[in-house]
Amino acid sequence: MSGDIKSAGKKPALTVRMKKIQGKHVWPYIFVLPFFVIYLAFNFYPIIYSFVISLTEWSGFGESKFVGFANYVNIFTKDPYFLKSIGNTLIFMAFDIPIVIIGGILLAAILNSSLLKGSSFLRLATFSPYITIPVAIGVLFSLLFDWNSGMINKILVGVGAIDSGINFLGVPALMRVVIILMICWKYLGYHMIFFNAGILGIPTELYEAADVDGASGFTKFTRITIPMLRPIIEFLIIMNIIWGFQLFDEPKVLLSPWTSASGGAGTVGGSKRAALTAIWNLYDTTFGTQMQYGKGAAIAYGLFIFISVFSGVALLIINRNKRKGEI
Amino acid sequence: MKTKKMKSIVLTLFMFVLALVVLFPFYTMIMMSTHYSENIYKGLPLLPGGYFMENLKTVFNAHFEIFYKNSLIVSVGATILSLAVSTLCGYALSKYKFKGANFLFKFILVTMMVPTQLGLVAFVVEMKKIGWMNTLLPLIIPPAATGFGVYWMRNYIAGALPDELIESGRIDGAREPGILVKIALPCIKPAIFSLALMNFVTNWNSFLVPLIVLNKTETYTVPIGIINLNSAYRNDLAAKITALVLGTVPLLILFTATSKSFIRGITMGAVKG
Repeated sequence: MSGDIKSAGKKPALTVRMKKIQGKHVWPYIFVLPFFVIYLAFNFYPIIYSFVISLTEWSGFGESKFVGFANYVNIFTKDPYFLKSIGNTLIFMAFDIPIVIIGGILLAAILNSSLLKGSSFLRLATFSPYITIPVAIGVLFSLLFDWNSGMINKILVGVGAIDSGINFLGVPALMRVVIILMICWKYLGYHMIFFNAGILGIPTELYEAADVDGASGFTKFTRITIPMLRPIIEFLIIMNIIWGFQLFDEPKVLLSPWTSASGGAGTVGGSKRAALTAIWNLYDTTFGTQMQYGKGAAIAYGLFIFISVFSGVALLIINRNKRKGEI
Repeated sequence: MKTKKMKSIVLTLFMFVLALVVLFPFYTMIMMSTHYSENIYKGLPLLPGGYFMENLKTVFNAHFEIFYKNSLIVSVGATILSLAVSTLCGYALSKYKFKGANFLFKFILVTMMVPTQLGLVAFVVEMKKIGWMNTLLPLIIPPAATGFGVYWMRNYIAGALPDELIESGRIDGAREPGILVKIALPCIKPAIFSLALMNFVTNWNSFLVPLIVLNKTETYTVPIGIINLNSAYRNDLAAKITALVLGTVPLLILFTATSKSFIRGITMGAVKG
C-alpha cells in the first residue's frame, strides 16, 4: 500500500522534472531569438546584400546592371575622392589620437591629485562635450569660427592679433585644424574618464613602495602609472581607429550652410574636399549629390578593408610589444 | 608646505581655465540666444541680452516641439527594446549551457567589430522596400540589436547573479521566464540603468540614418531638425541658436545629473576587461 502511494507520488514529480529539463533546453533559444532575428534582418542581411549591390551599377531605381568588380577598380584607381577621403580621415586621426590619449592621461593624473580642488566639477565640465549632440557640436564650431560673425575672429580682431577675420572654414588647412580641434574638444574628457578609472584601479602599494625608494612624482608617473594604464591605452587606440574612420556628423554639419555667411559652406567635403571623410564620401555618393548605389556599396566595403587593415596592424603591434615586454 | 600650497593653486587654476575653455562654446551659444539677430553680427555677445523670450516665441511658432516629440519616441522606444533584447540574450548566454552558445557568443563579438555603415546602402534599399521610409521605425527596431548591449549584459550577469539563486528559484518551481523577471532582474538593475543611459544618448544623437530615411518635417528628430533650421527661420540667426539651445541644454543637464552611472557604464567594459 505504502509503496503504491510512493510510486504514485513519484511519477508525476518525475514528469514535471522531465518537462522542466526540456523547458530549460528550449528557453535559452527563445531568449536569444529576438537579438538574432533583428540582427539578421537589419544588419546581417544588408551587409550581404550591400556586397551584391557593390557588384552592380544602380541608381536605386529600376534595373541594375552587373559590372563585376568594376566599382572597386574605379574607387581604388580612377575615382579622385575615395582615397582622398581615406587620406583626410587618416590626417585627422594622426593628430587627434595622440592628443586625446596623451592629454587624457595627463588630465586624469592631475584630476587624481590630492592637490586639486573641485575635481568633480572639472570632470563634468570636460566630459560634457562628449554627451552633446554631434550635430550641435558641428553647429557650435561653425558659429565660433565663422568668417564674419564668429566669436574667435571677433576676439582676435578685438585684441589686435589680426586686422580682419580669417576664413577658417574656407581654407583647406585651417578647416582641418578646426576639425581636429573639434574632435579633441569632444573626446578629451571622454579619454580622461577612462584613464581616471584606470588610475583609481592601480594598487596604492605600488606608489608606497616607490615612495620608500625615494622616487620622484615624474618617475612614479612614467614607471608605474603609464605601464599600468597600458591595456586601456591599447583599447582606446583600437577604438579610436574604428571611430575615426566613421567620422561624419561633426564635419558635415560644420561645413553645412548653417550660419548664413561662412566661406566655403555647403560644398561637399568643404573647400577642395579637404574635409571629406570616408563616411561623408559614402553618404554623398549614394544619397547626397549622386545616386550611385553600386559605387556607394563598394565604398562601404573599401572602407571596411581599411578599418580591418589598420586595426589589425595596430593589434599586431600591440601583441608583439606585449610579447617583448614579457621576455 | 608652502610649495605644496602653491602647486595646489597652480593645478587648480590650470584645470579651471581648461574647464572654461571647454565650456566656452556652450556659453557663447546660450549668450547668443538671448540677443536680437542683428546684434549678434554687430557686437561681441559675451553678456546676456533681453531677447530670449522673443527668440523662444519664434522657435515655437515653427513647431520645434515636434522634433522633441519624435526624438523622445525614438530614444525611449529604441532604449526599451534594446534593453529587453540585450538582457534576454545576455542572460541566456551567461546562465545556460546550450548547443551553439559558444558559436553565438563568438558571432556577437564579431558583430561588435563590424561597423553598421558597412550595410548602409542595402539597409536603405530594404527600408524603401518594406515601406519604413519617413517613419520612425528604422530608428527604433534595427538599433535594438547591438552586439555591445548583449556583451555588456552577459558580462554583468555572469558576475552579479549567482547560479544558486537561479537554482533555488527552480527548486521552488518557478518557470524560466519567471526566474528571469523575479530573480535575475532585481540583481542586475545597475547594469540595466547604465546601459539604458548609453542607449538613450546614442539614439538621441543618431544622425546618419535619420538624415537618409527622414525627409518630411513632421518626422524629423532633434538633430535633423537642427540642421534644417535654415529653412524654418531663414536669416534669423538668434532663433536658430535658441533652437540649438533647446535641442542640447536639457539633455546635457539630464546627462550631467546621471553622469556617475553613465561614466561607470562606458568605463566598465574596458577597465575590467
